[in-house]
Amino acid sequence: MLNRLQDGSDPLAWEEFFSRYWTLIFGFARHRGCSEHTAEEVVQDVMLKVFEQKDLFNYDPARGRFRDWLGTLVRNRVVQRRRRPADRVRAQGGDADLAPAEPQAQDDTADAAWEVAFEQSLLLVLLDVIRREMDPRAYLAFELYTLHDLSGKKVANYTGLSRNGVYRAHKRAVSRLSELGAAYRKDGQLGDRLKRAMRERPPAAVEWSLNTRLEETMRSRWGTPKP
Amino acid sequence: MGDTETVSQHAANSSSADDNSPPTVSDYDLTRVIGEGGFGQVWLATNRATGHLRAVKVIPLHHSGAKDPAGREITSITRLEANLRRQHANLLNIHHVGMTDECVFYVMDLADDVSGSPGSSRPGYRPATLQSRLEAGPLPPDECRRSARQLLAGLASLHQAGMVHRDVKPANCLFVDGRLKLADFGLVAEADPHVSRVGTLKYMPPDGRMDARADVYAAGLVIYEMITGLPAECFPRPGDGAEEAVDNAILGVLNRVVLRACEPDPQRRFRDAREMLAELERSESRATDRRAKSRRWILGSAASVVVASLAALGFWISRPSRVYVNFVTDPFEATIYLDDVLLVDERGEPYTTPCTVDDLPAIICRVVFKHDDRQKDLDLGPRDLAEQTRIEARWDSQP
Repeated sequence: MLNRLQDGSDPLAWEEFFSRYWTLIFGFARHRGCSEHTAEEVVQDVMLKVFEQKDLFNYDPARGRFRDWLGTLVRNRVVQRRRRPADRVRAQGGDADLAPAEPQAQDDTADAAWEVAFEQSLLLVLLDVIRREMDPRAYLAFELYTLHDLSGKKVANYTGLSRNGVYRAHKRAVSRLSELGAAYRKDGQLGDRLKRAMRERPPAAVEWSLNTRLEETMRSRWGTPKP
Repeated sequence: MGDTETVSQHAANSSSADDNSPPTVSDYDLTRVIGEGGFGQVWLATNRATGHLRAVKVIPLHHSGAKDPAGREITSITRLEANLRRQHANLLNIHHVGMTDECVFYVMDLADDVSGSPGSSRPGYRPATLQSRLEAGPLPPDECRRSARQLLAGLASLHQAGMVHRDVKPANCLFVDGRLKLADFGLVAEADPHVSRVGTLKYMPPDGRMDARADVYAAGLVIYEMITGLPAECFPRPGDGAEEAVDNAILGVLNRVVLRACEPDPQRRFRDAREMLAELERSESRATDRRAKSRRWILGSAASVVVASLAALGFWISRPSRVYVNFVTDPFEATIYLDDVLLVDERGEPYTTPCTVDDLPAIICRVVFKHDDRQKDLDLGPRDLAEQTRIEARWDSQP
């Protein structure tokens, strides 16, 4: 995907990049005390930086992981955004102040927060993978039954599946998730981690707002709306 | 990637739109751009004679692209007028189609303002679309039902006339006098499985056909957005209000209709919006009947509570124990045979372990678990399942 991004002529690559990483960037900014408004601005800033390809060419795979390169870019944007008084005033509810800690301690906390946000976004990507693979009815049943803890009877009624169908969907999804996220099989915490990651999902309003912004960006760049 | 030529009506806030000088069209003064898309702009307009406010879509005749959008728009509207015997209450009214040396234009109803008040010429006016409505979150259940029915009624009238819309999405659903109207007929075509693939990619079905079933798929996604408040890309995620939605009878009916409309296999979808609307109405009436029956039952029970209590006492004393069994195997996913009959649910799907099954026959002799090509045969003799709550089997690691 990075090669396609560097090529600069592939709108689908940009859309893929956006959909894969925006929740990560948003989640990290929120963890670092940004308001929803500022976190949205950070997503917008980072995406624009990558769209404009100013930073993409600075990424050298030989020098480290993509995760770390993106982490540096995002952390810098968060710090810059939080330094701008206009953004702090505009932000709904305001941004939490960063604790006046030593710079090194701040870096360590940011690194840890980035790792947590990255892991959660990976889990959400896993969920997205099985969402695209599974029959929609079965996926919905799985999410309601397994991740929202609703009873099999209620889920069966809502989805039109039988109760057995709900359990089958659950088993199929869990088995596929375990295959994809093999690292979590040992500690048996996959379900809990997924629930935690889902709780961190940005609200629907943010999703709409950022999708609209992406659409505008793509229209100005390629002359077509976001597909 | 297929064409993504769309015209969505939304507030124009870009400076380029504001810089445009208004085109000249007969009988109307165009004030400002209120929407724009790939091939044209929608202007707020005032009729010089009556002073009525309208929306006028203007498509330049000399377009830089290889295709002829103005010609296509005229063809679509002509087709629409020829096929529709009368205007439908849920399709946006087109009052007039005209042409100048530079553009083709047509005059439409002006949508309400996003605030819900009628369309006006005040500077802050923004057309009320389903898209703008969804930016505030999911629709309340009653509004969801009303809007879904209105959308399907408008689409059904097109399908009835042998046409397909090909660009059903929230931005193309306008509110006029509080009523949802399907708009943007620029891509309307006669229903034909080989009609070209145009529209908005995220509302297109995975099979790629653009017939009435594709409109059904798009309408399903739009209703999904109404229920959950999530964008179509998130389908079928349940969203933040999952717990409330599952307990709501209206949303339950809508959700089941959506799931069928958005089946990946087109043959399992509704044939067209008429069938989808009919199913929605049938399901709603079944749900209403069930609720009415339940109310009647409660009232009847209350009236005869003393007699019923006495009868119930006798019933519970003589009632046999409920027959249900937990079937467990290691590894999971074995199918179950009771007396050589495969155990299936009410839809004919085999139960697989681990599972709890009720309503079993009272007496059985033999249980067989099958997992891949292995099986475990349990000869229980005549066994009363009412006394058995768990039947299990385990395979060794080697088959």
